[in-house]
Amino acid sequence: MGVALPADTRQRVNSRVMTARPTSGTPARRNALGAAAALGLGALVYVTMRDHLPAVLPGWLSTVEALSASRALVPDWLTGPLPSFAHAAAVLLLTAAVAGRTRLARGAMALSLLLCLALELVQHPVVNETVAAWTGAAGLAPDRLLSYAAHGTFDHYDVAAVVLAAVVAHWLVTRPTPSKGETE
Amino acid sequence: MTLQNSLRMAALIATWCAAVLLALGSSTFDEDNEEEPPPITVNFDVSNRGDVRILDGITADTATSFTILGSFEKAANDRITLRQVPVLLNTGTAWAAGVLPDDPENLLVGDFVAQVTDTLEFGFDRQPAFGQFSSDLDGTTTIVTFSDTGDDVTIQTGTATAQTLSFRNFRDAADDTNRDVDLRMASKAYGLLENLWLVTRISETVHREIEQQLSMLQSIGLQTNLDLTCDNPMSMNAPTYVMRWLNDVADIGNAGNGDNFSAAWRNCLIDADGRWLESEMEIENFQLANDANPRSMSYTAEARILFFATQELEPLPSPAENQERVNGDIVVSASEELSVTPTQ
Repeated sequence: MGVALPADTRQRVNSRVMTARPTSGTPARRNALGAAAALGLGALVYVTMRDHLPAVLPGWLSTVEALSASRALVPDWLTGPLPSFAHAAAVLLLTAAVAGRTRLARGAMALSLLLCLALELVQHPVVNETVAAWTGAAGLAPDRLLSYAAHGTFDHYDVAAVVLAAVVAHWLVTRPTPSKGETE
Repeated sequence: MTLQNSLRMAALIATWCAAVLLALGSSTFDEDNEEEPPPITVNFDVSNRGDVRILDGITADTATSFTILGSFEKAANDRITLRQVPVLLNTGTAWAAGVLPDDPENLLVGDFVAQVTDTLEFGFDRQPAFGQFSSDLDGTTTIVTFSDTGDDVTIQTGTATAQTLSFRNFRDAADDTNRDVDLRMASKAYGLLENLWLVTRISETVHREIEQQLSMLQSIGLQTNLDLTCDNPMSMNAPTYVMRWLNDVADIGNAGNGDNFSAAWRNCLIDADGRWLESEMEIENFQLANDANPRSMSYTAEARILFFATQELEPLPSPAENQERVNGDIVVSASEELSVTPTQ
């Protein structure tokens, strides 16, 4: 049987996350593990399905022929948006793990989703051109952030992947979890 | 705000900062966010070692010598694929053959020498958009020019008045006994070039299949047969397909870049091409298709024994005597260079 929250606490919270869960730390750990799994998925995509490794992964992985053998097998339409999906899922699940069952939770999740969408939308050609023109006129050296906005390639599939990740993350975070002793 | 909430807020801010850093960090290496790398030029060189016989059901052509030089552009990190359409054939391209009719009524007989005289845009079963080649039969030269509009072909034989044909009519002229023999031989020369190009592309199949079997070849070791399957459900004789890792030239202990491999088919129907194939082929200086960028990638493939049906075979125990086919010994070399302009 789960531990019942005090009545006044239940009234204060308006999130299903906060009312449907036992007070144990299990959901936070589960969400953190989910975030780690999503990051692992992203790394796996780069190592086994893409031609270039991100800087955070060791370069020698690109020389392992067994890993590179699968690159030609997975279609581009899948390998392209998968990192965006993994990134958004990791961020949202980590946010849920950190925010826990507080009144911050919904707002924090919403902000994380907006951030992930913004990171895709700033690569839109309109933003590319605006930022490139602005940095050129201002004589600014293109740092990493400006380069991301000036030279990123917008892809509708990436945006769809973020939305899909939000749906999956929401389901994972809000799905009822039987507490100890509740087998049915 | 309680201390716990403050810590929570700090952790959330750290999460968002990490999200941004992760996106920026991976974007540098993300294909979606990279600027397009410059195109890479692939130069290829196809030649024969000994006669190559081409039977098309009407004539038996024997290519006594040929050199096909050309190039095409492709995106960086794509495979070297001779299936690329179109390719540019350079003016060094030349081929010579003897033509002997199977049918006594078909009077097309003789030896021709042909060469590309202006860079020819070429693709299998495809009208060239531009280019020119000449065909010489018994001292009479026929110049074939493909129009820039891609609509027609102009044929000039000796000092006679030039005539213009559609590409289809030009290709079919070889078998049209009502046409001038020089025009027919020029048409034959073009058709033979197409057949040679078709066979050349087998090397791509071998390269791709070696890449798929690298781990297995490495696990069984050098000079050991790797038995693979190939289809031939109608055959009375069992088809065989054997691949071998011949020698470990580079990166000792690993099957891959720089090494030599062989593939041998017997009585084998290659599903992908719908062709009957008997061949022994060796690939030297194998290079992985998805190697580092930029890279220098090249290979040489020699088909030492080659039987290649130019059309899908009837389901018979063995190919009919008059089956359209190519027999011979062909060497294909291809190499990449970082260059925007194709080599002329």
